[in-house]
Amino acid sequence: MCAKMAFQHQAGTAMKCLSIPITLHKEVDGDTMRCGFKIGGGIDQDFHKSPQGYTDNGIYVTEVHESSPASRAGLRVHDKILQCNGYDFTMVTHKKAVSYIKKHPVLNLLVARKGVTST
Amino acid sequence: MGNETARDMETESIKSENSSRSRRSRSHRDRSNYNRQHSHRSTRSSKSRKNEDMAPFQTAVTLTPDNRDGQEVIEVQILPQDDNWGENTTAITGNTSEQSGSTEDVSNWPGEPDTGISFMCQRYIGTVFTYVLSIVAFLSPLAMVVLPKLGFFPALSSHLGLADSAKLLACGAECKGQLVSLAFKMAILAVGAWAVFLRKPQATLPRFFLFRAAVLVFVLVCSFAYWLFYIVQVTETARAATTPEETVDYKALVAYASSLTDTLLFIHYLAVVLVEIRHLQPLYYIKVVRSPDGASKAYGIGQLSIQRAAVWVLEKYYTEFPIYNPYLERIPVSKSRKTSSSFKFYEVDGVNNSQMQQSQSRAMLAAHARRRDSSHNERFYEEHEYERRVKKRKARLITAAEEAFTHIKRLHNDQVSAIPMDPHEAAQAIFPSMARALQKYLRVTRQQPRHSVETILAHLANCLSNDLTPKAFLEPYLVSEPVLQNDKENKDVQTWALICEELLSRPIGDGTLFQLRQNDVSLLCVIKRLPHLNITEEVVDPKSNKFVLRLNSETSV
Repeated sequence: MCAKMAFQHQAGTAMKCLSIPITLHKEVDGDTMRCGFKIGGGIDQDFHKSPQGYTDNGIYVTEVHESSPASRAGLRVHDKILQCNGYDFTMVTHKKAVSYIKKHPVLNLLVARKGVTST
Repeated sequence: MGNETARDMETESIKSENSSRSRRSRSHRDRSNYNRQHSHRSTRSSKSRKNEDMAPFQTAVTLTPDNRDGQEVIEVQILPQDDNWGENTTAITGNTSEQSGSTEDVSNWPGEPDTGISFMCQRYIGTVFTYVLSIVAFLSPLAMVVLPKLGFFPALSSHLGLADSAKLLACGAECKGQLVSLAFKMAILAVGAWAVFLRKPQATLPRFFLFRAAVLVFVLVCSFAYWLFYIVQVTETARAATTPEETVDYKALVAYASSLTDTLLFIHYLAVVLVEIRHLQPLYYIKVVRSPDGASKAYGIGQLSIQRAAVWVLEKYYTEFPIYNPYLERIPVSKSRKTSSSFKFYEVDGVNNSQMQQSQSRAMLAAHARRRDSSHNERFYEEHEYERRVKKRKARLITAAEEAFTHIKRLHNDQVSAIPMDPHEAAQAIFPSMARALQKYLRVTRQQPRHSVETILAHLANCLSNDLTPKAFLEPYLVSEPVLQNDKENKDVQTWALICEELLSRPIGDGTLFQLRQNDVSLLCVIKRLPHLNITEEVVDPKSNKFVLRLNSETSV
């Protein structure tokens, strides 16, 4: 039941599930800080059209670059980010999620992974 | 006795002071100067003494020597003075531009270069020489063919009998064919020369036109060589011949004349390539800037010598540059603005207070700086105001013209109506209704010296007879484009002075700078080389023209 709830979550409703804590330290890349992964999704996006076949409006990691801070921290593709530095990522727009991620040099993420935090 | 003193007293005319100032500043049209001259009513008495005590802004008293009604008549004039006249007096003396008058004796100046025997000589001597030479060269083949027949060369047939000489000068089939081809080649040469070279020379150049001179030398050498060989061949060979077969026969002469025509045709080709075609491909970029008003244009130009490039630039100048209006140099300040007052300060105490003076000079500097800043604004507002006025007058002019044109209707044959008028009368009939608007517009754009009432009426008659609309009629007054539109520029000969650091017959190169001057107008031409263009081919695989829709936007962080 928890698995279904994590990956088929209706944004705005209450949910309880297991999650993996990941601490990501960004690296300096020129004049910006780089994490090294790509996110997709958001409550303003339509998950039915996602090429990866995501099943709800959460923020998902669509790509993790090699030898990047994200991969070193343990982030994997198709992880769903539930929380970032205390911000709730189950009910955010795409732009807001990007801005939250870009805000701080260290990210404390709570991540749900299919097959790990759920069956 | 009072009358006698009046008569003895010299007329305190400020005429001398006036005239000296006006001579200095007559070259710039200051309206107040004009008013001053017109308001000056002093009688031209025999003596006029310049009074040094009188300052310019005091009243002037003139006493006429002749008494009217037995009483002295005193005329008092208050001269309006322009405080700024000292600032913008230009130090031009004499007549340097054709827009101003002068009281100086112009006979001291060098004579007009446009007329006179020397100029006509210079203008036509090159052409005359070229014509003579080319006619001589053209007629040579003809002469070479005809002269033996006419019997100019008795040496040909002196050693031989009558029958043999007749046989020599006979013309067989091959010879006839060559005669025909010679005739055609000469016709082609004549048409070619007429098409390309037989026209009035466009310009008189100060230095040798190198290519033309080279071609003429070529022609001269060629015809000289051919004639020399011809005469030598005919006379010497004929004298040395013992049998009829060794001497020259007519066929050889015709072939010789034919080869001369070939050579002349090739020289013609060379001349066309050197003089007409070589400079057609643009190699340089030339920027022409006109000095008094800053109008500029840029062109592509081919490889030419500096003087030919100057002629080329002038041709473009007369057909593409806007008309230079010297009266637009100074945008008039509207009368509502008060004239700028200079910063005056007075020493109240009169004692030397050095500290006071220092602070006052600092204050003066600050005021000057502030005035400099505000003078930028002044120019902006003046120009803005002027443009607004021009636009307002232009709109009124167009409306008046359109209204005036509705009064006239073309008379068709089947209409039975009032008095028919020809275009001039029609023009005179409708002109008064738009005369005022047109005059005001011309005055605001300072064009009224360029157009007189007769020219305007003639132009209007022309437009009416050609069924033009009001806007088409107004076009010469609204658009002051090519310089030759100005009737005053329609002279036969225009003289320009060419100034350059390099020799004028050198070819132009990157960084060449030359200047053309005529009266007030000067054109500065700067030449830069066009870059060599490296065109590379880029192959784009048509398979790479595929697209994927990004529905769920992903952002990389």
